[in-house]
Order: sequence, then C-alpha cells, then structure tokens
Amino acid sequence: MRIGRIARRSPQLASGAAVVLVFVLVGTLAPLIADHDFDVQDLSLVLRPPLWAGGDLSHPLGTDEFGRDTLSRLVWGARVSLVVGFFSVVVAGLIGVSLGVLGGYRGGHVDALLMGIADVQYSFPYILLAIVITAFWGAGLVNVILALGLASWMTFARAARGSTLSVREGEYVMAARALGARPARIVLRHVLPNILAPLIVFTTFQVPSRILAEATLSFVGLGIQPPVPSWGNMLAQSRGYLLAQPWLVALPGLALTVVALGVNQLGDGLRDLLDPRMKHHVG
Amino acid sequence: MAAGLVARRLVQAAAALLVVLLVVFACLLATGDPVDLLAPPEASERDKALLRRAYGLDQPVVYQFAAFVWRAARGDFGRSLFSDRPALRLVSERLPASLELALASTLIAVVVGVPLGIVAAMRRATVVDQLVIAVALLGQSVASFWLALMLILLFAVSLHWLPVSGRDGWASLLLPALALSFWLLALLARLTRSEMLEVLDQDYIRTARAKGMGTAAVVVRHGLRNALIPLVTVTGVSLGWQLGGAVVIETVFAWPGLGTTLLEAVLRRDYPVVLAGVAVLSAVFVVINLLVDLLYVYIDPRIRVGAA
Repeated sequence: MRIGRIARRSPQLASGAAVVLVFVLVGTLAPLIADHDFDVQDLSLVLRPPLWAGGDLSHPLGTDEFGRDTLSRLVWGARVSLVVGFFSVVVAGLIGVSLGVLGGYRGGHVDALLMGIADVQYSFPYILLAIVITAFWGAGLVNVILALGLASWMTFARAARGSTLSVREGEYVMAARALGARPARIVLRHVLPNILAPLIVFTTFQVPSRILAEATLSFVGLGIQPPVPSWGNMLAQSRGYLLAQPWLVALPGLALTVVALGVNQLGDGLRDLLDPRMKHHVG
Repeated sequence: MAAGLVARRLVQAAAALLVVLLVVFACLLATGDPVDLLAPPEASERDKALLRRAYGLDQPVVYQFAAFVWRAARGDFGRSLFSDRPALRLVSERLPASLELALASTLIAVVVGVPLGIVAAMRRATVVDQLVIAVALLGQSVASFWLALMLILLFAVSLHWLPVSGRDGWASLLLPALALSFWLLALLARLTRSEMLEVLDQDYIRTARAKGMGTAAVVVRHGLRNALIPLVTVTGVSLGWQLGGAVVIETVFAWPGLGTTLLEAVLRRDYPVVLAGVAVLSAVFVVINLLVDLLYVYIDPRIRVGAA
C-alpha cells in the first residue's frame, strides 16, 4: 500500500494528515455529529463539569454558563475554523497569485509598483490590519474571511512572483513565446502549472495562521459573533470562568492547538515529500 | 553612496506612512457618520450639524484628508471623541508600555530561541534535535492569547507566583512577555537551526576545525556570525510583529499599552484615537524596518561593498 509506505517514511506527514482529515470531517459533518444545537440554552444545566470531573454522558465535555453543550459547540466551532481557514487562504491566494504572476511575468514598472504596495503592507502586522478592517466593515463570517484575505495577499504574491521569475526564462516558455503564444496563454498553460506544486505546499503553511487569526479576531470581539460558536469567541466568553471552570477555557484552545499543529505537520511533511533536499535543513 | 541609500529608504518610509494613513482614513469614511455615534439619541439635526462643523466633518473628503495629513505632520490628530483629550497624547502615553512588552518578549525569544537552534543543529538527528523541532512546531501552532490564559491559570491562579494582570514591575511583565515570545522563540529556533545546518556544511568550517579550533569557537566565530544576517532580519522585523501581537496580549493582562487603547478606540469608533494609534504604530514599524536595513550594512561587509 502506498499510503502505508508514506506513513512509515514520514510519520509526521501521516499524523498531520490524520488530524486534518478528522478536522475536515468534523467540520463538514458538524450538523450530524453534534448532539445538541449550538445555541440551545438550558439554565438548569449551567456549568456542568466534563466526564472526568464528575459529569455525565449526556454532556461529555460539560456545559457553559448558559447550559449549552460544550462538545457540540466545539464541533460547530471546527466548522467555522475550517471555513475561515480555507476560504481566507483562497481569497489571499487568488489576489496574491494573480498579482505575483502578473508582476513576475511582466516585470518593469508593473512589478515595481505591485511589490512596492506589498512592501508597504508588509510594514504593518497583518492581524492589526485585519482588526482595523473588521472594525470598520463589521464583524461576521464573510467579513472575517475577506479581511484576513486582504490583509495577507502579499505573502502569496511574493511566493508566486519568485516562482514565476524562475519559470519565465525556462526553455519551454521561450519556445511558446517563439511560437507566437499570447502572454495570457503562456501564463495559464505554462507558467501556472509549473509554479503550482510549491505554491500548494506554501498554502498549507498559511492555513494554521489564518485559523489562529480568526480565533484572535473572535476573541477580541471582531470576528464570529455569538451565539454562533467559534473557538475564539468561546474562549472570550469563558475567560471569566478561568478559576472556577478551567476546562471551558482549556478545551477550545486545545482544539485550536491540535488542529494548527496537525496542519503544520502536514505542511512540513508535504514539503519533505515534494522537495527532499529541504529535509535536512529545515526542521 | 550610503547616504543616497538612506535617503531613498527615508522617502520610501514616508510614502509607506502616507499610504497607511490613506487606507485607514478611507476605511473610517466607509463606516458611516461618526456624528451618529457622538450625538445623544435625542439630538436634533441642528445639533448634529453643529457637531459636524466642530469636528470639520462637513468639509469635502479630499480637504478632510489633506487637512488631516497636514495636522498629523505637526502631531495634531484631534481630540478623543470620548475623553476629549488630545489623541496623540493618549496614544503616546501608552506607547512605552507596549514597547516594553514587545522588547521583553523579543529578548526572551532571542535568548532562548537562538541557543536552542544552535544546539539542535550541533546535535543533528538526535533526541535533542527532535525535541527542539517539536517545540518549534508547537510554538507556531499555539494561539498566544490562549497560552496567556493558561500561564495565568498556572502561575497566577494556581501557584500564586506572579500577578494576574496590570503593570507593576518585572513580575507583572514576565507572563505577558512569555506568552508573546513563544511563537517568535519557535520561529528563531527553527531558523537558527536551518541556517546553522547550512553554514556548518561549508568548507571554511571544515578548515577551522582542521586548524584545531575548539567546537565553541568554530560555532560562535565562524558559524553564528555567518548565520546572523537572516536572524537579524527576522528579529528586527519581528519587533514590529510583536507590537502588533501585543494588542491582544495586552487585553488579556489588562496591560496599559497602546494595544488596549487602540482596540478600545476601534470598538468605540473613536476615530482620532484610531488614526493616531495606527499612525504611531506605522511610524514605529517603518523606523524599525529602516534600522534593520541600516544594520545589515554594518553586519555584512558584502552588502557594504555591493551598495558602494
């Protein structure tokens, strides 16, 4: 079995892929997996402890201050993280790769202008930019995705530009140009397919930071708004119970860490697999 | 030639600052009329018009921006819509606390992260190396604000070793600085390790060893010195990132810094304070980037020769 061989060769890739698979499944199938609705309150079941602290099976991870089931809210939270992590990278990737390829292929003033804009935006931490954008546009799922995408396109632009520059002078691109192919065709048929593999690995690396950024925005009240659960807003709401019910704070953060760790491991593993030269140099 | 380089970077820095201000100004305009927020619900249209005139909000947009840039250049960002104090003073009062936090966290990250990376590179493919890689991976996967809450739970609530919040001496600085430093520490450990692995493979290292030079001397005088450029870049730029990250950490620890002020202003749409905060932060980032660029010239003679 090929999968078995890859797992033996790269346990990191295997464990990362397993975590990501579970995360994607839980996020996608949240309505089927979650035992309770995320916003159903039961004030007779407020702050129930989890199983290991004397709780019962009806609420295995306990309940929050409104009597809502923590496990179900974590499952729905996974869905939010999945959607934001994926789509914000797609938004940033579409903008960044388009501009990066354009700059790299055209060169000259276009390239200088685009990279100048990227440099200006780089001088500003992207989480702060996302905070400012969501503050002005308003919180909510779509705005968070757009804000994170707009605040971080430059990373993709730089990566795509670099790859385009190295591909641009390739013989097959020269040949296409000599045959009279138009720039759009050369970019779509010859440049993009050749820069895509490293970009996919690069994209994987970007997902965890977007998931953490969404949690951060939701934590400060500018991301996903209650009652829709996000791991970030769950943490914000349960902060006041740090002393009395520490698991309410520990569990969403733990979920966040495990998923980010899994995606990072998958990224590391993929990079080693696709570019074995890097294996000994980058940890 | 070096003066020309500095002048060019200064012009770029000023342009960067102007663009950031323009973007934030445009964002502010897009959010609607601040007078609706300022005026009490029972205010008449006449009251609102008076208020609008008092804050210069009745002028054309281009004029508002030009006037804003002109005033900003002289340090006048207007007064807070809530406390009626000068916005720049409100912001600059808080800047030292944020800088203290950002510097302390960067210091922790460098002092711990770089040696970890060196040790991992020297003990390549051993348990020590694996452990450092694991720490590096974890550091890039933990949300700093959650780590902050967990540190509070352990060191402040359970063990009572350190204060939960506030700014009162080094003890209160330790937890927020630790929480903020972890991801940078991880990044530096990872980067130092990969840079050192690359450098330790070079011929001049082999020559130094062949001469009979001790391991420590080889690592410090030949290895680290050549791995320094990317480390200085990351450390310099990350001081800016740390300031950005401090926004959230400050709210967890009720740290009286610029982040807390800026976030409060953003949530209350206190426009002058938001603009002053963003301008001050951008200025700090731009100055840091400029200093890092200039620092290269001194660290790496090859750049000096290249520039000349």
